Amino acid sequence: MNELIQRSTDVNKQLSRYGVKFGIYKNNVFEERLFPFDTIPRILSAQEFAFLEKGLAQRVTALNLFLNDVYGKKQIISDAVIPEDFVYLSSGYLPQCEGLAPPKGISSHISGIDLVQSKNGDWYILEDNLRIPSGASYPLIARSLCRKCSPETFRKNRITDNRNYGQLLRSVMDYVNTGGLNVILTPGRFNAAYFEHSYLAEQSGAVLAESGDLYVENSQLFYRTNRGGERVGAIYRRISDEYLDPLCFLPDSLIGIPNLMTAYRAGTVAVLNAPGNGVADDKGIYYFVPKMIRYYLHEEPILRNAPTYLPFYEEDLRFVLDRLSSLVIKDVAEAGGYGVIFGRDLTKEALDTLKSAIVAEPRRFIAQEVIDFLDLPVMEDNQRVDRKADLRAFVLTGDSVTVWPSGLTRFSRDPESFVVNSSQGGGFKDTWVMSR
Amino acid sequence: MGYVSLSKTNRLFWLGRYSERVYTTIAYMIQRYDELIDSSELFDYTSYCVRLGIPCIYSDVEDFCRRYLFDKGDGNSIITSADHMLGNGMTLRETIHSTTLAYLQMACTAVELANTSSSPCVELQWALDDIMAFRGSFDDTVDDEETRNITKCGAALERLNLYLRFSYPRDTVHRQLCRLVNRLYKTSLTTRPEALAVLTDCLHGSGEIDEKTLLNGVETLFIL
Amino acid sequence: MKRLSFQYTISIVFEWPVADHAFLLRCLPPSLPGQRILDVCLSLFPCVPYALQRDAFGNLIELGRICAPHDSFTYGVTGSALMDGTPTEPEPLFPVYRFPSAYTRPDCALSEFGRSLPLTGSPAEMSLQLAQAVHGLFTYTPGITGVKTTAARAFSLRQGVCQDYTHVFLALARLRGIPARYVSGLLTGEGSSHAWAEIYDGERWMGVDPTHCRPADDSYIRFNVGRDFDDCAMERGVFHGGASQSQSVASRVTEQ
Repeated sequence: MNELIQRSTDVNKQLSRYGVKFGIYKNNVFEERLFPFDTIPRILSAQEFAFLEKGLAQRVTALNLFLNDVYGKKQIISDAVIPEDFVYLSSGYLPQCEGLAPPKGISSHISGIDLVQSKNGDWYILEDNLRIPSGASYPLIARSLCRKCSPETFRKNRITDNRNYGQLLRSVMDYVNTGGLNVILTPGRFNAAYFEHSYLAEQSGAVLAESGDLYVENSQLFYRTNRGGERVGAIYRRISDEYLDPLCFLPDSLIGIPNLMTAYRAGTVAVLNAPGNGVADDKGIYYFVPKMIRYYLHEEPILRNAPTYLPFYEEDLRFVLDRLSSLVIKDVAEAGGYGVIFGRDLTKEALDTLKSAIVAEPRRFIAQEVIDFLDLPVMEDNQRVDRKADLRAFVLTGDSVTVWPSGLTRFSRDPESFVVNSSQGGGFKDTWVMSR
Repeated sequence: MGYVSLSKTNRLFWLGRYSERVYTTIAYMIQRYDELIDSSELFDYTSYCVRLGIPCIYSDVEDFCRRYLFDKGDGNSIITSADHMLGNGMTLRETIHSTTLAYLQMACTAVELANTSSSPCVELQWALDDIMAFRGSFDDTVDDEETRNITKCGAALERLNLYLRFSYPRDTVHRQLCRLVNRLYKTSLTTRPEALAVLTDCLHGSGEIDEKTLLNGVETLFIL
Repeated sequence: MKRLSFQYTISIVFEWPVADHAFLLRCLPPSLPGQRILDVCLSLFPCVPYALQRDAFGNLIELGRICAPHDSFTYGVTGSALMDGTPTEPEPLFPVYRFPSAYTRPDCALSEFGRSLPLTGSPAEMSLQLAQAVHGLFTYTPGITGVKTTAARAFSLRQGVCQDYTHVFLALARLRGIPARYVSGLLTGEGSSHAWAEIYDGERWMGVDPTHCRPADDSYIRFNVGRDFDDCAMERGVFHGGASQSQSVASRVTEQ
């Protein structure tokens, strides 16, 4: 592995050669940046991965059952496992999706589950991402380039190949495809994850399309070609729900496809991931995922949530107000590392302001114990330093539930920061799953 | 394949045009750099701008060399054309493949490096090498003939356009015209009949056609 | 029991021709408890085929696409309905009607007003008291508010049209724990479309018209229901050409 680390410069040159970038908007100007890559991988033993794999598959299976239930019979609500407020007041809940039956009963095809490891080695689920989790393309291309720069490292270590992500994605699309092309819908070149959209299209053999390339006629989705319309059977859309269909959601959306939702409702096209999934990856619903696993699968959850309190419950509210300075507070409506507040960083006045905000809108917040992260080594100016890191595991649901034997490890470049999102300047690492 | 969407047709065509424009203008500028070693009088950048049909916003030769090559804020600069070339390539990744796209990325990186170099022609030469490699890789990795021909039509059209603007010898123009016309019948690109008539007339007709009419025919040939 | 015949026509004129026009209409009334549609006919101009579907709220939607350039779009509905006031089977409640929606989310002022209202009796009685409160508060004024005006905004203006009366009514009803929904449809007589509310009494939906401060009886034909106006818009469209548009509406409902 040392050889690979010595080759860092070569690896980074290769990344720039392949334009491995992500875009950010700074002062309203679009800028593309290289996504900083650190060659020291996160290493998961075969045994550790097998454990995570089981736990992740269990979690995603339950989440898919929840999504079908919540837009269908709602038994989990009538059985009082989840208070209805957490469903109907969630910004991710879309009544427009009521009664919709996604092809093959799958709502979350590509799930990105964020985990952290604590200093004593325990894994905790940090967050579920069931809408359009991004990031798989980065470790995917990084692996190819690292192999090129340091073949010896990969000869000596038994590392499970992760370069099958494109095929996995394709088999999921094929499985739910209702007869027609597989298409990846991108908002266009000036989107943060454009590299990923185009790279995944290439890797999965899907057609990359923008909204103008697609139209709905007679409740069917078509791709506009020089030889007329070509039926689309599965669309992996990389735009969020509210922009998906201007005739169903935000009327001003220019990146959506008019009447896509009616084609979807008619069952003529599979939409990956299903619209409305936001209700299940809401920070408030997170609290209930272990309960969902017990409710739907009659199993004990294999993977733990970070200890979480819901101010919505009177008892938790009192506890949270008492211990606010030692907890992490998250605003359930915010994403991407925004709206995360560490109580210990706040002044007395700020704590009081936060307390009154929680009392006024208890449903809006969750509070969690601060997990003592296991730091990972990162090379900085030829020195090894320790940084906070998380792991986004990708779980693909098609004919079966598959956990990609890799994942995106993101680290914070700021030693003080716990926030690892790329939009906030973090970097990434490859994740090695050892084959024995 | 078989599916070329209308927007993709557009991008393939412009990929051809921009890659040709970047290649030809860089090659041209490398020559000018050499001449400027001896004298700054030899290069009339004002008439260059007039011929290209771009506004001459440059204060002197030095300013021209810097901004026309490297100013990202100048919509007519070479670096802006290179960015358009890359942008069209990026939207075609699954059609031209990452291997081919990498050469466009490298060409752009080379132009950026030239900007910070004391002898920019070295890096500019790399950019030319990368575009050449792009052409080879494009030919090699894109299976669908029609897809290839759309980009090649774009390149042929751009080259002819530049040849006419710089008053290349008649037989050079004629050869390039032949290549373009032969190519366009192998695509489903829509042409404007009156413009195509000017071109074929020039190839096969007896009467003389002036450069201006021909250039206009070239510029308005395709309906995209 | 009453038999109503209805006609409803909307004409949209574009400033200049538009193309690639995708539309979604909600202009066919469905059969509902107390309302049986006997016959109905939809005509479109330009004449294009359309697909028929039901949305998540149970409304009928008609969707299609006009590719060729056109400078107007007209849709007209004619039909007849049997309005039958006899009691029907209880209906389950779709819980979203208990919660605020985008257009009906109250602000502080509206919440305060809502909490201060003394409401007594059954849900039906309370809903009439609410309708009276809204009606007493508002001055019917066309042209002040638009399709995007929220309940909170309309409440602060104390002016508006049937849509605003209904939004404020819905905000108040939900605030006071009465499930309520928006209804768009036609009213006996001539004019344009109308909006009112329905409240859920624990078993069935009952119509209340806050604009006219009365129960919505069998002279009201229901076209669409939803959380607010946004779910019930009769027409939505997206087209190429960026033209501004003007719209004319004519409706006529008569008792046979």
